[in-house]
Amino acid sequence: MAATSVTIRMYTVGFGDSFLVTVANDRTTWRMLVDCGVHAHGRPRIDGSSREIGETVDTIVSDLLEAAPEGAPPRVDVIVATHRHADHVSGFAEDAWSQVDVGEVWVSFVEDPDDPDAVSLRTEQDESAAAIARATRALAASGRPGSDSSFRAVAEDFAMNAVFEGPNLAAMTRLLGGDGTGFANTPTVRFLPDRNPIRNRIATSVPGATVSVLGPSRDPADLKRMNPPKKDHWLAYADDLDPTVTSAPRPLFAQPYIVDERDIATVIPEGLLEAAKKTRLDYLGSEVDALLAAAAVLERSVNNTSVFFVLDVNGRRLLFVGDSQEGAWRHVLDDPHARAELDHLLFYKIGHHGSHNATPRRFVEEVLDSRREPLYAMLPWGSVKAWDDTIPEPDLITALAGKSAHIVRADDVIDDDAVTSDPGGRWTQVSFTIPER
Amino acid sequence: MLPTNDRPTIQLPERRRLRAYAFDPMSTRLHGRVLTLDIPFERGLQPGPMGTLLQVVDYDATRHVWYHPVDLDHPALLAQGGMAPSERDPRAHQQIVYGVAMSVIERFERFLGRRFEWRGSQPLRLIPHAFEGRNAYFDPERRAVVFGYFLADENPGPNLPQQVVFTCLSTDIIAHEVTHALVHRLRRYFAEATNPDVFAWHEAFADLVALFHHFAFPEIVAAAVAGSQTELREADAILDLAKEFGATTARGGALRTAIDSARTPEGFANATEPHERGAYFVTAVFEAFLDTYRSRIADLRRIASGGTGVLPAGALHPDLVNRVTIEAVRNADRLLSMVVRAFEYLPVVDVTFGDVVRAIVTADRSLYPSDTGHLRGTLVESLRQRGIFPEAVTSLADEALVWPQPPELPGGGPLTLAGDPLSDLESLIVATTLDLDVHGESGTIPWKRIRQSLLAWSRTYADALGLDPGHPIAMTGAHVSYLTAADRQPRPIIVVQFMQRREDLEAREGLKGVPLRAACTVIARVDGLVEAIVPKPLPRSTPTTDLPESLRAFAEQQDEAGRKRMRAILEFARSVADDDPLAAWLTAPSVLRIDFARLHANEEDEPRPPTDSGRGQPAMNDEART
Repeated sequence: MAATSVTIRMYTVGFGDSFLVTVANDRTTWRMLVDCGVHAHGRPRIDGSSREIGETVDTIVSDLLEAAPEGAPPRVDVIVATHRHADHVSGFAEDAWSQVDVGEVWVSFVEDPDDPDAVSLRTEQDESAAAIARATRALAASGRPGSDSSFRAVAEDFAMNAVFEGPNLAAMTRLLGGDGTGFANTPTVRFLPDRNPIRNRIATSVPGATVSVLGPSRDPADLKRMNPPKKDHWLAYADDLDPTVTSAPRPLFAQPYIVDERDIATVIPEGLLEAAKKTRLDYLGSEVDALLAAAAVLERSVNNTSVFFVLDVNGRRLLFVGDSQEGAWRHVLDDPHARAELDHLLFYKIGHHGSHNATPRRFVEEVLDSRREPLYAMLPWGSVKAWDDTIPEPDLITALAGKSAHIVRADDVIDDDAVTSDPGGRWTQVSFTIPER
Repeated sequence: MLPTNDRPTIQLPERRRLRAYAFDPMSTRLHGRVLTLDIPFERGLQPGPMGTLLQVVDYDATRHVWYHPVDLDHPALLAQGGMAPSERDPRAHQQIVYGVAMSVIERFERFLGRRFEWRGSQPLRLIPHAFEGRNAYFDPERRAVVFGYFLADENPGPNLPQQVVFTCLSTDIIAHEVTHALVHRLRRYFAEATNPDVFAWHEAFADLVALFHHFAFPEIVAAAVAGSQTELREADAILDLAKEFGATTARGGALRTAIDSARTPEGFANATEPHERGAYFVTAVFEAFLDTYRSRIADLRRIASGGTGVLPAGALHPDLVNRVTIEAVRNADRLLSMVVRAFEYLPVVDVTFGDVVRAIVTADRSLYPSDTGHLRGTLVESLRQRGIFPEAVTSLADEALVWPQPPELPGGGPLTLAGDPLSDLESLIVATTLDLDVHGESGTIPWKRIRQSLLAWSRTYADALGLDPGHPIAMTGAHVSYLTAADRQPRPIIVVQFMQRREDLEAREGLKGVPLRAACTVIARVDGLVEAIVPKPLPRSTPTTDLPESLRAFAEQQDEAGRKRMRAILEFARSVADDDPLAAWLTAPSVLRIDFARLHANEEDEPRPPTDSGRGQPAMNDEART
């Protein structure tokens, strides 16, 4: 029997993920789409205009149609939506999907409507995102210190990435079959990982190719890492900035205790006026830093719900981690069985666009060190101005290169026989031929 | 003072009495207790109050208004011990933050044996109604303690729902935050997180001072003692004071847990969060206090019970209450002073709890060599039971725990400041002495000359101080302390802090703005003889080959310790970044974002009592940091 070919096509969505994985031998072909979305501020500039996610969806659908037998609808065997962030799922809001035949949809167990723990976690995340989003907008509208801060804008971005409305809601509704109009057929939905460990090893239609689902962890200790910030404080904060809502009594003390504006210079000693000015007291009430910190915790809590899986083709492994951050890797790296699934890595989808704590040092130093074969690491990345200095993390790229990984990215295509890119700039791909064991 | 105009002048008072809540409005409402703060009478105090050490700036940034400042020198207020505590009058709030902060500073001065002065004589700002929010914290950049106020929850325990809670009315919160500022004055680099203990020590110390500050008020202690009714069996009354402390502050959650846990090392070993880690230290000190307190009052109990030690049922005799109270207060003072004094013996950077234990023992042993009350032994044992002891010492005997003497110099002489440094320091010794006279005027101190001669000295002896002679050295502090010894005589010491930032190592390790500092604290007698050094080395870049035999061995040992220390600092910075959700998005290293506001903001998961100072702002204020 001949060898198996594997192609990973990374669509140039901008700051977001979309990968079409094609596994084929001389008789059968199996296709899996991992994510399809772009960050609201991460659309790529192509020939002077920004590319909408709809264009990428059209490209994917036409690629699938081209691959389908004459007269058959476009088809994909599996769609994986790793987690419900806009930069991973917003594309599924597009109606073009309704003509596509989908075998199965795989999502995180956190999406399971029949799992009470999942429902409560998801509800908390959604409510937290809504509260933080409202707080960021209330701050912007208030004109108070911090309202024009870049931190406020970033916090709003994080919240909007997670907030469950608009494209995110439409996308998840389609994926989970909520309104029955999602795809050309009604695909089976798997919530992963399954409670039954046997069901986390999923065969494909190509012999020798199987998927092992390793995460997210269902361990209660790990679930804590998915807890979002509490919503109450941010609701109260937004209320306080909202002039139509009453909070603490205004004024705080009876009128005679408040210095009339015209008398300030005479009543307040000069030393105190100077101290107030020097300490920039007016910035104290803004809480913009806390808001950003909370938004970042929210961002991470949703990232850590990512489906984390390995595609094994004849003993060579391809690793997809969604946007799992530090904490979400721990149970994989700490469990010898899960860890063994990372041996013989051939391909790594770099987590979370190459950010600082999405690819643990332990993974680079321990797992990649024991590897003897070349590794292709694919970086889904597009420019978002605010993060250009931090994402991807230069040290990570250097460390990966130090383990002689070939870094595949759309904006800097390397000269490598395995790597090709679309002349129209719509995708970059890497292909392997894996001999039978 | 001399009489003028033929009329005798009225002498200004030496003390000022001000009233405050005991220890916040809620507990005052429940117990009806009010504190009387007895603080030094500051001459020339302006409305605010605005004095030389403290400025109360009552500007409300949320409401953009100033509140009328209190004039504590108003005759009506002088005549009645200040304003009566009131939640509705902001001037009462100003008085309380000023009074409590002053009383904390005065206790510090007493333990350290010198007048306290802020860096550059710039007063600390206290902002009682800074903003609406559940937080109060020390902000080093603003040189201010900021207090928030907030609406109580719907279900606020003993508070009224929707009532405004003022963090500036809690004696514990004020004492805690002002202590952060004092620590920052004594050791500014303890605001740099280089290991899990640095901020934990800040928190532990602030809690310890706030907790033991309860013992500055004998009437409160007496009420607790009398309230224990029959037996004083377990000194519960005193323990309850600690638990009450726990109930009214955010830090209390961790402290309550620590107090209730067994005296074993596991809790401390597994604790990583600063408040939690610090709580074990506070608890160990408090347990040492209870142990000594129990043995100190055993005789009183026997006297009061015809020799049996079993007290009769019913209320305690007021005289007994009084005597037990005196013992409790004295004992608390003695234990707290042991810890506060230890500051003179702490490293300049990168402090660990192990260092604290060694500093406590070194300071106490030089003052109380025989440890007659066995206080030191009890404290070390209590800390050991909690797993708090230094690494790399051969035993927990005094001799093993004290800081090492400096290495022998080539030629066999001891390390001494005698010569230029000492003659320049003489003016500092005189000025410190004058400052201790409450009516005295201090002399001017020739800081420039002192600095120059100490720096020249440090360059000459860098190898003996664990510093690298190939890099510039900075002097970050020099002062004289009159510590009180067992014989009740003042025992003056000179303490000098040297620091060496190693930008060469930072560049080599690719650190983006995370400072790597080597440092050495030098403790000398006033005749110049160096009694102890507390080095925090880093790897040397200057070879040791040319050094004479005796120094070479020491320098190589410091170099080795420096390598180990640097590895630990880097590993800690990495682990902080790994856990920091913002690390992915911001360029500044995560360890630089840890600060007091953020620390206090980390208490979110605790069920929040009404007056806690939870939730706050993390440090990376984009305006402030750039």
